[in-house]
Amino acid sequence: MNPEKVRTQARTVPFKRMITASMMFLMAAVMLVWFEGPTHGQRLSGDLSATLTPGEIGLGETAMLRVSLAGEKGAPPIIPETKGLQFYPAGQSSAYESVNGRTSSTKSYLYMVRAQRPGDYTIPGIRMEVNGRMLMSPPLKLTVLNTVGARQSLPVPPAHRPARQYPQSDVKEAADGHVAFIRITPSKKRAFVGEEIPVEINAYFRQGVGARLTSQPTLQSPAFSSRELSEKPVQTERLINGRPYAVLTWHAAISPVKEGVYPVRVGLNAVLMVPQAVSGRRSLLGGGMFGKMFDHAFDDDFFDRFFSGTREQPVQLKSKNTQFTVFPLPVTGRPPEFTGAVGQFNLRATATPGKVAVGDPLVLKTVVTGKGNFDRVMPPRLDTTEGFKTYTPSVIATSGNAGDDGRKAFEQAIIPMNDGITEIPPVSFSYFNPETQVYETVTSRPIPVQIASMPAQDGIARRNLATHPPDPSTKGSDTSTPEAKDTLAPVDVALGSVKGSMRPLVRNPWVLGAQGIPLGLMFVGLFLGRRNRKFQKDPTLLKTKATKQQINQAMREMDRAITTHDVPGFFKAGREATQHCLSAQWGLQPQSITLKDLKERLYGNTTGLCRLFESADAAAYSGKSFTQEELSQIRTTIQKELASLRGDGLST
Amino acid sequence: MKGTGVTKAFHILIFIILGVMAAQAGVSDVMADTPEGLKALFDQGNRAYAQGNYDEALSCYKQIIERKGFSAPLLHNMGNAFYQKGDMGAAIAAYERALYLNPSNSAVKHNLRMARNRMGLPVDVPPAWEKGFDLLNINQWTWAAIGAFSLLGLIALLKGIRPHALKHRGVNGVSICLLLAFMLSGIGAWVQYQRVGEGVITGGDAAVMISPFDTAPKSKTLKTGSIVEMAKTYGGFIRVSDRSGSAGWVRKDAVTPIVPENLRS
Repeated sequence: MNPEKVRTQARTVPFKRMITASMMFLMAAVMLVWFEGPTHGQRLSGDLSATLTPGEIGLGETAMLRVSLAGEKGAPPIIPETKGLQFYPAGQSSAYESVNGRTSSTKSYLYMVRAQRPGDYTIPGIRMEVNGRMLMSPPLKLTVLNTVGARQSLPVPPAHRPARQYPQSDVKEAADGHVAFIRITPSKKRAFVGEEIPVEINAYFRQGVGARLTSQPTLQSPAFSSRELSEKPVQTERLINGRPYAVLTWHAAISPVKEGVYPVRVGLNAVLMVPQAVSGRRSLLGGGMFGKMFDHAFDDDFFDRFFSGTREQPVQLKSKNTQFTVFPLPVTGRPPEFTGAVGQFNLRATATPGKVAVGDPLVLKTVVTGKGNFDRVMPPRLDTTEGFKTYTPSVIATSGNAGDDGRKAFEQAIIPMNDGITEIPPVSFSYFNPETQVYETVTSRPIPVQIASMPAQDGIARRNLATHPPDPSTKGSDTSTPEAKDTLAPVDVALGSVKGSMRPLVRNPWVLGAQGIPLGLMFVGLFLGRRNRKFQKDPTLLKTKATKQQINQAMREMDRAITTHDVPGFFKAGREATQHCLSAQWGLQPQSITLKDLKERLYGNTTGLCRLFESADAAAYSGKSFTQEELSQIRTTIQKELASLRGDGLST
Repeated sequence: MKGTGVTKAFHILIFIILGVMAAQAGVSDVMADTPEGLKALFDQGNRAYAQGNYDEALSCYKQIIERKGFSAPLLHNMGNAFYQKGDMGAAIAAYERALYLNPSNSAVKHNLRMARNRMGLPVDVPPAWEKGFDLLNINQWTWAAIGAFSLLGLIALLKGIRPHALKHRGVNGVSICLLLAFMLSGIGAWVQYQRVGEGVITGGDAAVMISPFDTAPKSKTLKTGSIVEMAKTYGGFIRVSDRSGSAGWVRKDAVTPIVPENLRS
């Protein structure tokens, strides 16, 4: 035997045993988990619990009710009615727990609890349907103290605030067994013709059933009209018979148009998304061991919806008939100016301007405010129109929601026809008050106004008004009359100058840009003027400037002479530059400055100037020649020395 | 032979008649744009107005506008024709345009007051100091300001170049007068410029919407003939504000600007 083969075999055997042992261990572990896990075979019975935190609250505070179901999946809890307590759904939560290999899930429903009165309350057991069985939690106690406690109460979300307090006793009957229904709740069922009745329209949809509205609520009645509904309904949640419902609320107002007894109902079209019923839990991987393990991992509402589906069901919700009794408006005591308004109103009148000439219009603005049927509010009338020419009033603004205070404004043009008028007469408005059941009239105060005589240029109009007093017109604008035609100033006989465009000159960019020219001239003039004044104040400035110009000119001449190798011209220009520079300083005439003056008066660094004069004499009298380089050197020296004499730089 | 000659003569006669007609049409077309042609059209319009044919009068006046442009008398006469037809909005717009070109015209002011009274609209009474600036229109004030400013610039330049030449005391007085003239002209131009952004509600009472859409809620109604301040446009709407300061959107075709952008407006 090969010893190597022996050793290999010896090493292989333990390895195989190790693998086999591991496999067996793994299988045992799986089987242990499977048999001991909570999902295989029998299911654990659901553990329903309810807690109330805290157990004692002050009046106005809120307690939290938590209803939890562990290990099972059930229907939403049924909250029992407890007199004096209100329950507001506050959401749901899910939790998963794994302890010693055991996993469990717990679903909790949260409710905020509020009391209307202090006292001791007992919330009966909360029921929940779980897999066909009805579980019930123990009852809970809540103590509501008569004091506003220091503990901060949980705010009730706006969406959960209870709706307006209308009689709701039959809501429970309507809700009995229905997934969706609609209800109209009027503030009163007896009214007069034309009276506005605020109503609340509520559409209920059970939680868990999706809904899509396909119409607005519509009123169905032969004797009522309605104002426009609020565009978007307010959405809230309510518990009815212990079941949560989503509630859509519209506020509207209806108004009877004739007397008698009539039913009113409201209809609404919607499409419901009804979830398909799921019988038992279908296992995605069949009913075997692994299928059930897999299903447990996905045991949640989310996956129910994903796997179960919904179906659309169009519905036409109709409320029950609500009977209304409509009374006619009384004839006794009806003012002659009554135009059909029913409600409670106030009136205010103003006039602008406060001062006009005879024949010029005033604008009389009247505003009716209050509560009632503004569709029937007609323009208030002047108590008397004597001395005025009036025009048809027009509505200029209307505001206000159904059932709330409203406002309607009117504007009317009135023309005073004589300058003896000192005030605009009062304006009256009559309406029927359904509360007191009598007709009431509100009257504004007279409005003081100043009427001036006609201006002189309107002499034509004045003549015509005196001879042809106009009739007050109340229908639209005044119709044309022969007298009106004659009062117009006649047409022009000369065409005048015809312009191709009426655009103003100031909008022409060329015109605007051209103004830069005189502006520029102005700046130049101002600058020159300032400069002149500066020279006038200090005459030496002018002289210094002239000297500088002469020196610069001489230096340029020197440069030209170097270029053309004009030696006499170079020295002539150099001499001139020196003479001009020194004459300004010494107060001498330039031509009188000689070499002798230079030698007597100049020191130190100005020897180049002396040499210039000497070289000039040498070039003139002895015929000495200078190269261009020598001339350039001399020029550079001259420039430096002249600059040092002047104390500034010379231009070259 | 004779028949052929007659036919030929007839053809020649027709040709001459047609030629004359064509020439006349061409001539009248050319003549219409000349001052004489425009005057003739204007007179024709006035004759129609006197006879009560206001539509024909308006047609003549509008032709002048399309061919050449505007003049204050032309707009005044258009206003009268609209007034007689009962179209107060258009009449007020025409009178306002006439006043824009000639603010001191008392006849136009009188007729404008008449039209506004007919519509029950308040008549604007400007403050006394503003009335003085109605002597000239905006362009005239602008030219006056430009002239005064240019002279001031020239005097400043001359003073800078030749200070000794303008040392006379009178020059300073002239400068001060020119400066005052420039300031007054500027104020006058500014007063008249207020009309430039204004328009007149025409074609019936205009609904004022809170947004530039047909389905937007209505906030108020502006009477025909009301003066509004025009602002930005959006789609077929224009934002306007009335004398009380309230603003909103009206349809563009409900407003006639006092200063049109083009001749056909």
